[in-house]
Amino acid sequence: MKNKIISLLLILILTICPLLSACDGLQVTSSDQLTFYCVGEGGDELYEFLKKYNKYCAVNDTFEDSVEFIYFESYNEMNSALATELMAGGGPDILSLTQTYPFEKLVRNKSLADIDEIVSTYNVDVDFIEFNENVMQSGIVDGKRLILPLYYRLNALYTTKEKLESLGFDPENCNFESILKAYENDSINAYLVHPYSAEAFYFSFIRQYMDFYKGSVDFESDEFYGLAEGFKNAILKGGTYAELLTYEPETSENWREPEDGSAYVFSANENNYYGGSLTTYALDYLSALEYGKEPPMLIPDYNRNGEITASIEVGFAINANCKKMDKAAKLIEYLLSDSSQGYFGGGRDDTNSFGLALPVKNSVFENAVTEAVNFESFWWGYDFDEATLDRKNKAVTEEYLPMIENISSCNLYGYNSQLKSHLYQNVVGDIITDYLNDKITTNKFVQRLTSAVTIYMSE
Amino acid sequence: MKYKRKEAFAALFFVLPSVLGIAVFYVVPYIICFVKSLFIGNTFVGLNNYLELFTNKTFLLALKNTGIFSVIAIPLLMIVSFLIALFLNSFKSISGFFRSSLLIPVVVPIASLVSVWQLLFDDYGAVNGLLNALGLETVGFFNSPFSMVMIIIIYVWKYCGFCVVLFTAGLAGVPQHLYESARLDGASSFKMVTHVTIPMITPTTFFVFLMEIIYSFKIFREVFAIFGDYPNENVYFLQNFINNNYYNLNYPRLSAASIVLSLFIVLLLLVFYLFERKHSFTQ
Repeated sequence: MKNKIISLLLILILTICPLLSACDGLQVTSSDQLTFYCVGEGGDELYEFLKKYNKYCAVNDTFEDSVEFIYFESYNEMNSALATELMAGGGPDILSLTQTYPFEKLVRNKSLADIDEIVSTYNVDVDFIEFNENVMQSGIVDGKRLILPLYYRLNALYTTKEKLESLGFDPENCNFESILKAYENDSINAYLVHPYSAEAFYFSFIRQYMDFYKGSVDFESDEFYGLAEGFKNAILKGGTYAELLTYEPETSENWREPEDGSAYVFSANENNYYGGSLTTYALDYLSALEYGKEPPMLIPDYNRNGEITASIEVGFAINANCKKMDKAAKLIEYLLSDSSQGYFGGGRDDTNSFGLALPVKNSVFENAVTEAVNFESFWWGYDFDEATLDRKNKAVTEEYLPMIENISSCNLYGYNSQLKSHLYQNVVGDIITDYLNDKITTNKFVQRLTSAVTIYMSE
Repeated sequence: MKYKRKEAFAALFFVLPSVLGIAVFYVVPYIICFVKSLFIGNTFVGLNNYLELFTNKTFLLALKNTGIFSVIAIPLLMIVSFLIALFLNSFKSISGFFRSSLLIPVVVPIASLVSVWQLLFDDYGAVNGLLNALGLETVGFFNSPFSMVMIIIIYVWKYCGFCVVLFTAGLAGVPQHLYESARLDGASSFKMVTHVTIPMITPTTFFVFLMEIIYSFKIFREVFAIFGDYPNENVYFLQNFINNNYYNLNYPRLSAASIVLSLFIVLLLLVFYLFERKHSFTQ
């Protein structure tokens, strides 16, 4: 009898312990709130918006509608949990575009909910006609609105007219073609971009040659081959990538130019992408004039069709497994409201915020233009003369605004967050760094890129 | 009768933890996996995922590469290890030392193996250095059909020792009087191997085959370490397909591919098992 009891106990321990330890690793939540996975504080732009939404819920006594944050130590840990939970019919309710999920795949295997359906089912007060059509289109696949962009940025690199002239370019007709030609002739003594942003620049160039939804790549064309070499030469200028990464030029005052005389065609700052809000542009413009520098001049990022493009800075999707669609509907309504859009889009005059990026809502965007035009001072009592303000307004309305209005398409991943994307981290990142580090020839680079991306797109 | 029932109950009682473990960690996930393979998102699609799988060119590529690897590497490893075992069986005084030496590759860490392999076969590695010195062009070992040859060589080199040990044990079990009778009948060495040794070690051969299939799936670790998530298309195996689809969160396809792969293995083993039952002479 004694032996039987001992053996029974042993059996119980043997079976229950592994089950308990297996369950321990899963961050399963039975919360009634919407859930959002994040790594630490502030690792994701959407996180800030959701925190603001929670405050809004607290003020309106609707705590049950707020979002519960589930924190992870690392993206790896978060992705492992997500991979397991999605398969089991769970996972977070809100998926942020700036996180490392493979959204192209999630779209294809129908893991994302149709936002139009949520909007119509729960009578959300949103009319998508009132939003930027070209930007919103990037979230629509096969007629279904699966991703909701909230803010976007213009894909443009910044430089100055003065700098372009000093490097022998005509600022009025400067584009990537003329820049690469100058590098081919070896007539330019400047790096194309800051080495810290070289991979992002290169990746954004490569993305022009892949179409995920059609499943096609065009890396083996002569055009791609020539540009791949041309951009690499322009980035490295005969040096090695490893050397460039360890070189840290002392930049004077702000982002413009290193003091030691080394030069970049585009900003000497590691973030050579512009893409700010309209007010930020106005601020930068006035700031440059104030410090006696040349104001920023934007050149749209390389696009093989010669179009101006944008990328989603903040966007999200709702998990198709979400059981709280009514609450998701309320969140959508809040995030697309004038108040929320204006707060981070620079369209509200009751905040001190210059805005984060460009809002997708047309009315808020128009307010943001007015705000940028009315922007006259850094701080209380600081005045610019009329001529300076006129110059700024002309730049906002005649240079920056037309570019924004001519945006023809929008990428899913922002310039800053694209290096965190699954596609870069798991598929092409190593190939790009190997190429920039001269470990592989252009032939091998094209071969490996074609093979990896083709497999990724079709598997 | 009562005693026997008691014994059976006790036996069941003792195997219960294992059965529960297998049920919880294998059977239930397998059933869940099968159910998932019939859905896309929350929509039931029947066998559509399976049909799509067999029209997916990446899956077919993975299937083709896995097939090529299995068809070449597994028989090659069996032949090589059997011949070595046979050779060592003839020189019993030195076989102990060689058996131990041959087991070394099994315990070599993958990272060391990959480093050595890269030092040798990289575009700027020793082998290409030698080729260049001889005036020949650089061979892209990691980006050409030679990648498959490399993986087969690694597989044979790594697992040969273990299979030799198994075959040696099998050979030791063959009764000596059978060889003596064959010799008296005037059989040549070749005939003794084909008509006595091979039929007599069929259970060992089956076990080696089983182990080799298991190891052929384990070789993915080496492929992954050398080529990463996305190897060139010559060494893109089914395990790559399944592994990548897990990280791509592509569950419908992952589930369908896993079910197909498991059925393929079961079918293969079943065929070999039936063959072994029919041709075993050990009884």
